[in-house]
Amino acid sequence: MTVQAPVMKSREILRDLTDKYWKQVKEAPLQGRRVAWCSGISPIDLLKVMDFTLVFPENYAATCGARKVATKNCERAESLGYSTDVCSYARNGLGAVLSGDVEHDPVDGLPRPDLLLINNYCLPIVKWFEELSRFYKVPLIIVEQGFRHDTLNQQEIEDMVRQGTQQLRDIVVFLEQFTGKRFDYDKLQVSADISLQCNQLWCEVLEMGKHIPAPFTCFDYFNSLFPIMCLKGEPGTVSYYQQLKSDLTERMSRNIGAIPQEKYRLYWDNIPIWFKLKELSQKFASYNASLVTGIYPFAWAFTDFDPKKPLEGIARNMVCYATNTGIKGRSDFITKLVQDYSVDGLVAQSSRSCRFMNIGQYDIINIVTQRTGRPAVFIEGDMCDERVYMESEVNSKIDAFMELLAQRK
Amino acid sequence: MKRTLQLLKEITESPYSRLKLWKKETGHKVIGCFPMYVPEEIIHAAGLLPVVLLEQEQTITLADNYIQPYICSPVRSNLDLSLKGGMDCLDGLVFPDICEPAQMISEVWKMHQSVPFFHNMMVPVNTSANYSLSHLTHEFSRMKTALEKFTGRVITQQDLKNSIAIYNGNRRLLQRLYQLRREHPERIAAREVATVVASSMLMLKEEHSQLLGQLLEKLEAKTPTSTERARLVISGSFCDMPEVDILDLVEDLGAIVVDDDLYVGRRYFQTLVNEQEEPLTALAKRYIDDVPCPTKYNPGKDWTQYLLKLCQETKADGVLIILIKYCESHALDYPRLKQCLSQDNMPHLLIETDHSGATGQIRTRLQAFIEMLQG
Repeated sequence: MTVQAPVMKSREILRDLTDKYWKQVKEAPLQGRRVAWCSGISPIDLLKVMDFTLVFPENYAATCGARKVATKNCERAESLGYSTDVCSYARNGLGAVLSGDVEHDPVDGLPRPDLLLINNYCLPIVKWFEELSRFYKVPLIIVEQGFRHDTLNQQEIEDMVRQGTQQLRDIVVFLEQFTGKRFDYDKLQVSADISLQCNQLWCEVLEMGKHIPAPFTCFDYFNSLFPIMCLKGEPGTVSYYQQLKSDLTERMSRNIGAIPQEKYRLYWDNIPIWFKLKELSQKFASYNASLVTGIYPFAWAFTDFDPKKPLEGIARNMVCYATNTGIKGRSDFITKLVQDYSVDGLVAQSSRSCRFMNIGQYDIINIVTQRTGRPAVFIEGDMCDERVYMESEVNSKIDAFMELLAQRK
Repeated sequence: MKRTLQLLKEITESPYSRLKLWKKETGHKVIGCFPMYVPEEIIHAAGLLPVVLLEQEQTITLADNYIQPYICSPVRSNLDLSLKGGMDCLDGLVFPDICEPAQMISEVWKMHQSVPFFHNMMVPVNTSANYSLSHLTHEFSRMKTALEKFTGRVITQQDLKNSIAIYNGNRRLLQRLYQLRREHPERIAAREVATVVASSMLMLKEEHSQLLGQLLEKLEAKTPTSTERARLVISGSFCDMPEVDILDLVEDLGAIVVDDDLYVGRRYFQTLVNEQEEPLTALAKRYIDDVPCPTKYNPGKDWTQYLLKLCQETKADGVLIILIKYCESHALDYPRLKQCLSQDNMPHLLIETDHSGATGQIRTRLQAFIEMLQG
């Protein structure tokens, strides 16, 4: 008999946060609030200080992916001439915006931006937002954090942080001109403190996956990413992660796993396949396999900065977050995850239209399997584009992999 | 003229075996530069020979073990050749972070091939920001320091100035070649023009300039025959030499190439470096002032306007766009390019290639396009 998992109170808070967020987004133009569209790891604290309402097209793409409307948006982009090889987040976003077609849209379309803000972790995001900037005739701010190559030394990384900090200062000046308001550094301090607290809580929640059985799976983490990505620096987010932490603590104290009879502990590599979260989580659950950790959610778990220097802290976060590094950096990180989380095997998703996460993935996973002796399986997928996903092929690969793990147990 | 062209063709077709010989003869060291924007002048000033890693004709057999197949051919093919030992003559490599494939392939490369000198060049994507110039100058200076450490020799301002003068000299000669072609495009085949530019990337600039100077004299003396053919501008083919089969096909089908917007073409030499200015700043300014590129962000520069102006100046009848398969940056710019060219009634054709030659489908589409232009 399996133990009934206790009710997760955090789930309700998450739903409330999400509903409230979208309500606020929808009402922003009516209330005369400025709207900014931002990328996932951009310095959103600066915009919050200036009372912008924030919209995240990547998160919107994930939502469209999960609701299975992203493929339709991708097709809309393709009919405008965008190649199927282009990032499916970008195709989803451009298809929805440029076509103006909001039929079946999960949020009935996004409010028009007054400003765009990104950090350039990849070129597609720059090109995508450049097009948005042209379409809406609004300014685009790009923060360039640079890529933390394995060849760089500590001094060079500090130079990158310094350059990043300087860019943030320039943005403050720009925002003052753009809004006609003074930038309130006290407010930034408050927001940065809360942001750090959010990052710390998120980190703690992720680390709970070390417990055997793991109280939460990667699929749950993917579903809980929204506040840390979009509502960082807000008190509601702190409450949510505190509640999540206490929910998981309760599960742990009663030895209740996310997978009732956890037998295998797996690592998930790369971005989620948003349109298959449910199916994949059921698939792994059918083998009593729990995806206990993955590098992707750690991109928002950066805590190594001085809260007294908020601008520098934000810049450091952008330079040093988990995935913004080369093969050595990433394979070291993942090796540690595999060891600390008692992982039995690795599931590596090659997301077809995300080159940033793909190139080097074979080497990274090979290094980790060699170092840890844990086997890996590669599956081909995509973040949003359902058409490239070969379900039966993926399933038979997972079946074969689970059989291999069974033999090793 | 034939002999010079033949020599340049050989250099373009088998650069690495020739470089090996050249190294033996001269004792020089060779640094490979991944396309597209490594400031070769700094490497040259260090007493090293910079060459651009251009895709070679070969079947990819090893690269697929290390990277996914849906990555552009300049990345896959270069990695493959290196894994096969085809680039063993290189003493060093420089990779610019112009896009994720270029950025990430350096990481993969480094895992499997070791070279004495290895450098990542981190360039800002935004060339219009107030930090762009200082950022780039700093980055070029970082590269200079790395090279000095490698050679054990200081690169002086004068060294840099000399190299810039040599490179500008070569650029001016290439500009003259393009001017000659504009006036009478029948004088030289598109394949030959591409070979001239590609070979400039693969050998000592001084020697290339000498050969090119001789070639230009012969070309100027050639009496042009005038023909009524559809006039084409070719654009794109980033990080790669346009496939000569396709260039030949264009001309066999009755069109003539009057100018181009190709990486192995006008983009390589159009912008000169200011010789009066502090050298590293001048090189950084060239990067900023250069032709609009899908890997650079500058809202004040419009690629489509640039291309339309080129078409106007050359009285082009149409534009052929060559898109390297899986080149995401170019693919993201294409819809707007298409829209603007259409609005301006400039006929255009997109062909996507992955270095597999002039396939039947490409032939059919090109034929229909050129027939349409000839009306």
